[in-house]
Amino acid sequence: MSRRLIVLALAATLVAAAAAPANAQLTIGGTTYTKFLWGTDRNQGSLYNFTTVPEEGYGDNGQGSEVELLLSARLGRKVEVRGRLHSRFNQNFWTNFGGWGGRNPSGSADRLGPCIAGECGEFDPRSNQYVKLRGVAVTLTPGYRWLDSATLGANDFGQFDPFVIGRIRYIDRDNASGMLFQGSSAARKVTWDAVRISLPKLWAGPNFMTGRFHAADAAYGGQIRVAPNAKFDVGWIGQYVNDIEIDPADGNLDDGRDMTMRFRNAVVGVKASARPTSTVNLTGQWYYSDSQSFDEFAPPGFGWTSGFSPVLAGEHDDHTWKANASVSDLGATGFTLNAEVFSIGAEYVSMMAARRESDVLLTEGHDSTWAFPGPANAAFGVFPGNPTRIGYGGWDGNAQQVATINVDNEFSDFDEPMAETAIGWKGITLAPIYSRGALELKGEYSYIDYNTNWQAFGDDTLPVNTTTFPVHEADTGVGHNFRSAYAPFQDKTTHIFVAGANYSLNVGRGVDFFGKFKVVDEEDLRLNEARFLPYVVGDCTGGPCRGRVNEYSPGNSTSVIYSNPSLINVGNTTGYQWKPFDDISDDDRDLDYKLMQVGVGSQLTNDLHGTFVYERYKVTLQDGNSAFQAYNLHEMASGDHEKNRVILKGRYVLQGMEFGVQYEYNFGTFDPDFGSGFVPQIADDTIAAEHHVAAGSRGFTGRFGGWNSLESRDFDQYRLKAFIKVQF
Amino acid sequence: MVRILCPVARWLAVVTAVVLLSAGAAATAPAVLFTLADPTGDDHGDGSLQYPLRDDLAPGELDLRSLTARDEAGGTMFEATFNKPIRRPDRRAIDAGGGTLDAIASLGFYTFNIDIYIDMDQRPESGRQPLLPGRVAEAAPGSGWERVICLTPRPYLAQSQLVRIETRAQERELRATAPRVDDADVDALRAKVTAAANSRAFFPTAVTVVGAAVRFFVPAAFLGGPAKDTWGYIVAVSGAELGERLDLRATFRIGEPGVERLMILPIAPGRRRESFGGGRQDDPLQPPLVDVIVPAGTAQETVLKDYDIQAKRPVQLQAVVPAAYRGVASTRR
Repeated sequence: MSRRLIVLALAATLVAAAAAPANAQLTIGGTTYTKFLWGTDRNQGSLYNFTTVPEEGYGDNGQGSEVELLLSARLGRKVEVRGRLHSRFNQNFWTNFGGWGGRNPSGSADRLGPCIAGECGEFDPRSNQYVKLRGVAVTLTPGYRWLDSATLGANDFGQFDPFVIGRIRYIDRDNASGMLFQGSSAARKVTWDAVRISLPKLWAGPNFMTGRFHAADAAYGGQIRVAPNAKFDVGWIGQYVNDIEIDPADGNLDDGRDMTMRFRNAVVGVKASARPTSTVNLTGQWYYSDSQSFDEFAPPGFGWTSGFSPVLAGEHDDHTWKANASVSDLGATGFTLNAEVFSIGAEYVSMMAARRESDVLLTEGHDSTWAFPGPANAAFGVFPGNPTRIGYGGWDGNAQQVATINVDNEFSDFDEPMAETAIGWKGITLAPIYSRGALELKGEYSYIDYNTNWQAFGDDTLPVNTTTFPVHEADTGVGHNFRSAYAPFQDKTTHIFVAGANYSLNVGRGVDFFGKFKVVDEEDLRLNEARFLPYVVGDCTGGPCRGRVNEYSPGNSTSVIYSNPSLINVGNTTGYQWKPFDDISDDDRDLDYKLMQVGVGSQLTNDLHGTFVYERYKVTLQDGNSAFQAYNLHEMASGDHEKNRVILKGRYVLQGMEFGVQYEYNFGTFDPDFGSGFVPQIADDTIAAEHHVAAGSRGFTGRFGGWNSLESRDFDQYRLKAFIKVQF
Repeated sequence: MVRILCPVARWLAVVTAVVLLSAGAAATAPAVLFTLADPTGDDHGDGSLQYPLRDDLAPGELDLRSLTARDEAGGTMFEATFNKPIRRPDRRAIDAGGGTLDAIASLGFYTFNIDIYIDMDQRPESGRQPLLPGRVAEAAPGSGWERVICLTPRPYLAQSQLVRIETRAQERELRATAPRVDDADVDALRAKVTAAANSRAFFPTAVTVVGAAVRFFVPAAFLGGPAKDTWGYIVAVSGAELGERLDLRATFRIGEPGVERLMILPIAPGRRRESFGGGRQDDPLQPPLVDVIVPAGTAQETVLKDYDIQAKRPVQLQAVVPAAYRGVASTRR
């Protein structure tokens, strides 16, 4: 922004202030961000690293800027109005030369596909540098004894509970709007909040939508917290989501139009905390949810390969609870112990639970560098046109756990935290911390069992290829696919062990050394009863498979998932295209995961901080063999993985301006081991071109035509993000 | 499972050894120089201050219970204990640049500042009266301070900001009086201010957070030795503001500069998310201090209301001398 523009803005402020009532106040502030992305994935869809939203771009290259003007007007002591004018990075590349020209999507009849990479220029708001009104809210503080404030309009609703109504962020943290009333009594020993949130039609219902009629949809919530003294408090919370549609059976418009339900969701909860001494902290939380989608307007179920929805189909109810205990500085030794026991119900649904930027569990969980099924973080990577989006490096650090499958990592960059679903998790975490002077030792041991451990989605009377549980990307690969909570067959346990240390050396402005060692031991027997095998025993013995289906209940068989292979000839060898699924161990998962991280950070000058981190991951994974094929959908990840990450970070502060840079070099290898019992095929020129493998290399074509390479893979990728932030 | 037992066992052995050693060390813990106690339930400033409408800052969290100083090798270890566990910064992204809270507030806390102003000589005409920028308070006559320790989540930024604020103020004075001001004059002024600020103000960087307590180390070089219980101490807790905004009016010299605030959350009328609520309308002298240790026999609420807008006299805080309370363990004031 030019100096002239800023001066004009300030002049406008002064004029506005002069024209206002004596006690009124208009404040204009703002923030500008400029971002530089560079990476060897060479994507340029947008100025964000990641999205799964259809027809939105993602990329790791480009430069762009956005500006946010914060307007706040105080009309006396009781009324405040605020809003923002905000542009977005989106596809506003500097190379757009101001956002002019470009392809007109209406003129080209969409022959060239969706507008991404800024190619539609001024014909698409995402690339014409539009500035959008956001965050408009009026806050009233009327001075009544029973009401502290009323906020009408945009809000992040972060004052509730991530299990029930969580901090809501999509592009902004205040995309959601509603009416929030807050009050207190008894010298604030009793506080309450009541809210009506207009239900976001972008995602807040089955199939990530709220149906055709959205304008009256809402989530209603309330909470009361009582803190009679500093040692104890207790609170109650509830929410009700009301997603309604116009009743198509009501043909008489003269008496108004009747409404009928599309989706409803009720959640109630209670939580209490006690601090019997200054070093002991105890908390407990319990929630119950009930949800129901109605078939007339919402899908009755999902295909097991295509279940994408933020909530379950049909009617479900479940419980979620957790309890935490923390004892600080035990016996003045510097030893602190945090403990948590938890159980998040498999069918627990809270439409408005936090989707990200919250961490509901104590455990580190999984690491964000393994975000998707394939070795390179590609989902559906066995099919052409599905390369990795976030890159081989994934996101940084460990994931944050949220109590929903409605996880949102959209429009994020690699240096931001990734959220993962914890639906179905139950177990215990012990996290000791020892602090003494400049030394801090931290540890974690977590045992996680799963409420989603079941066979045939928990009901063997139903077909396994349709379900009310959306599986999203399905849970295969090294890590935990961030929004996949459900699998048709699961018998999984996870052990997580972390030992870490930080030490600050008092040299110069201080040098911080840190490191950690993490082990994840995970087993999942998946299909664990022979009655669920797809074909009768011996179906493929001694020649072509005969296709004698094995039914686990009348009319139901897993052969709809795990069909038999054909006999093929490769050179002089005849054999199965993939191994027949004839043993319950064919889909077994056994993860042996180790991470070693070391780093050093230092405040180099008062204004400049630098950090160096090296991470080495060594993983041996059995994740089913060629009979399993990662549910026929994803690149198989069975084998040995070695991943290395070299990370350099810098942050420079200068008079209200912050410059940050993060550079990463990610390299490693994957040596596949998909077992035996099949004949490797040879990639022809078509397969080579479509799947980016060498012609003549070995692999096999799976049930749905995807190609799994049997060759070792070497990864070698760089990426960088730099930003400048100015707040004024 | 078995394959993780070996590293687990090794790690447990190391931790056990360290804890046992530290337990032994705890038996010979550093000597307590003094403790100043503060009543619980007074984290409301002058009585009208209300916590912001945020989900990560709740009553009791800035309620100081005690401040203890211990003699340690090379300096003094202060320990401030609050009424509730200290909220630790998590990995929440807090800006569009992707910056996470724990990266920006890397010392393990992010919601508060603790200022400790030290009157080393307790002479009436000695020391500085104004507190750090944004506190809207000053030391009472006779409590002028020679040193200030400011525990804040972003100490290096605070240090730079303090120098910048003081340089700007002195530059304004210089420009108002000098016939001509060259860049060299400004550079010299900045060097002088930097040296003075660094000798007068210390922003701890060796910080440990354990439960409801925060420990921070102050080197002997800054205080000229260990902290003494015969010195006077003004201790004030405030809310921390992590970001820094460019003051456009000051930068572009348009009109009067805005109110300078050194990493402190302001107070405003009504209730807000971005500031403390309960402020008085059109009242520039209401201090945004949440909890202050005051001398015995005085009430914090009374002290923090004692200012005069007409006379432009801010709140005046009296230093507390621990030795005056020697023998009265954990004196409640």
